[in-house]
Amino acid sequence: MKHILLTILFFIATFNLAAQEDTYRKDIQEMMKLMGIPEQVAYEREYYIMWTTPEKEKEFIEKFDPTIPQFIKAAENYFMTKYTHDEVKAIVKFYETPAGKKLTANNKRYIELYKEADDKYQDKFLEINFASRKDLPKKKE
Amino acid sequence: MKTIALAVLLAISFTVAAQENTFEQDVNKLVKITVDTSSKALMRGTVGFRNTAEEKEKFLKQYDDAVYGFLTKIEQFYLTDFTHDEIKQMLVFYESSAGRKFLTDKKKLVENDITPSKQWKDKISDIKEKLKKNNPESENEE
Repeated sequence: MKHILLTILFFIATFNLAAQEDTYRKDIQEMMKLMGIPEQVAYEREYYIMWTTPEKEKEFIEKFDPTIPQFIKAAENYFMTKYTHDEVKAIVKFYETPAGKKLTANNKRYIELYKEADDKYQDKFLEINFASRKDLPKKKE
Repeated sequence: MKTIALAVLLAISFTVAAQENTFEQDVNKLVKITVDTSSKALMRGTVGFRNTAEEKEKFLKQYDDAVYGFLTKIEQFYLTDFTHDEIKQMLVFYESSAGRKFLTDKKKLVENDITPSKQWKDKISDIKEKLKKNNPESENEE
């Protein structure tokens, strides 16, 4: 009788742990969606395809696309090791506020705007770099 | 009566102006904490290191203007798309313990630089390398 009771308790505990982990992972997935990971992945995909020659584009996409779910899974595992379930809930709760909802709605726009601003900065940096080196004295032979 | 009306109008415009400044200050604070500028700070150290002090100062000013332009663009996004209350909500969140922890990932996400991204980028590099080996005549890829 004791043995049966212990076995039942063991299964209940295991089932509860599995259910908790399932909820935890679901909340992580929700957090990732709200913080803009799908938009970031879409942006990176477009970027890499843009820099692939047309002849190799199809082959590149065939090899690239399977890496996306692998990345998503790795990101889920990373966040699960980094954040407690309570922290994830707090982050998701923020994204449910009016400010958070607006941030989520503008994830794509923010990424594009950020990249555009960063590209302008990079161009300016190259200009400055070139200008700072072009009049330097050449080494004597 | 006219003087009183004018005084009231002036008082209102000063109040409105003060609120707008505070909005800009909060947006400035938000951008400072949510945008990673550490790589830009590193790059600054490489500007004009072989030039005279006067030239270096000139190039550093241009560099700082470029970084300022970058941050201003992001500030504009918040100023035009969000209310002051929404900005305050964000600041409150990022000052919480969960928010502070989350900030490190938020900053890196837009650069595709969160920890799992590095492994992903390595896989993509491998794919591109293999494509190049299979098609050696093409040289114009990133």
